[in-house]
Amino acid sequence: MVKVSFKLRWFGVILALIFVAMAVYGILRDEVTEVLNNARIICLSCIGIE
Amino acid sequence: MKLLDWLAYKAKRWRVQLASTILHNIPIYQSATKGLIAPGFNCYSCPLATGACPIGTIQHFITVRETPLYTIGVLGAIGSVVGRMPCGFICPFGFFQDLLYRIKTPKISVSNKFGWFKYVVLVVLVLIIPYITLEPWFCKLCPIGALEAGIPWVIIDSGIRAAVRFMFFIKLFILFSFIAAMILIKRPFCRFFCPLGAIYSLFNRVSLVKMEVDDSLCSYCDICQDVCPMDLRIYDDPNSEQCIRCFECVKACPTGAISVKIRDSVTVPILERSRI
Repeated sequence: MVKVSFKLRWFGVILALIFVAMAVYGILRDEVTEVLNNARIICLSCIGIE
Repeated sequence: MKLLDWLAYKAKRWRVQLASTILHNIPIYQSATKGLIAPGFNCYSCPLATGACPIGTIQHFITVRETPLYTIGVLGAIGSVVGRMPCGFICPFGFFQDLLYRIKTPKISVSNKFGWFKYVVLVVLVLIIPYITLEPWFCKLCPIGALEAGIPWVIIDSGIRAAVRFMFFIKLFILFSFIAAMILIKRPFCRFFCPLGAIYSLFNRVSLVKMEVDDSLCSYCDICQDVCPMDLRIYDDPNSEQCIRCFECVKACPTGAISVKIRDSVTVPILERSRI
C-alpha cells in the first residue's frame, strides 16, 4: 500500500481567515442591516401562528 | 491556551452556560444587538433575545434568494477555531437540556448512530424546503421558538393570543415531546436534530482545538461516557462530529488520558493505492 499525503500547517487558522473574510464581505454588502431588520420583527413562524 | 486550560480543567461549565444564557437574553439596545449573529441556538423572537438566531437568519436569506455570507462566515470562523465547542459551553438550549437531564428518573441510552439525522434536518428543513416554499419551515417546527417566543408572547400579548391557531399547538406538542425526551435521554435535540450543531460539527476534525486520547494511559473504564452529555466514548473517536468539546471527560478521566490540544496541521491524503 502506497500512501501519499501532505501536512497542511495551521489549516484551522487558514480556514478561520477564509470565513472571517466571508463575514467581512457580507458586512460590506450590508447584510448586518438585513439580519437586524429580520430579527427585529416578531417571527410569526417562530411563535407558531403562521 | 490559558483560557482553554481554564475551560478544560477548572471552569464549572454550568456557570459558563448560565452566563452565556443571560448574555443571549439581555433586552438592552436590541435595535442594534440583533444585527449580531448569536453563536448559540436562541430564538430571535424571544422578547429578551440579544442577537439573531443563526438558523432563522440562514432561512430568511434563502427565502429572499440571497447567500447569507455574514452568517456563514461567523459560524465558519467559530467552527474553524473551536469546532462544536459552542454547543457545550454557549448554547442556551444545550444548557436547558443539561438541566432537564439532571432530573432524577430512570434514563434511556440511545445510540449515536442516528446522529446523521441532524444533517437531514439541516439540508431539508433549513435549506431545501425554505428555498422551494419561501417559508422558514424549520422555524415553524422549532421547539426553541415555542419555548422562548411562542409561550412568552402568547402570555404577554393579547393580540397574539387571539391569533393562536392549530400550528401553535403542534409546536407545543413538539416542545413537550422534546422536554420529555430530554429528561430521559442525554441531549436528544443536539444529538439528532440540531441544524446549528450539524454546521459546527463539520469542523470538529479540522478545527484548531482538538481532543486527544493517550491510548497508553486509557484504561477503557467508560467514565468518559458516563459523564459525557452526548453519550460518547471519547477513546473511540476523540474528534467525532458528535463531540461538543464540553471537556467533562477531561475533568473526569481518572488516568489523565484525555487532553485538549491546539492542532497545528491537518494530514491531507492525496493518493492511496496498492502496490503489487
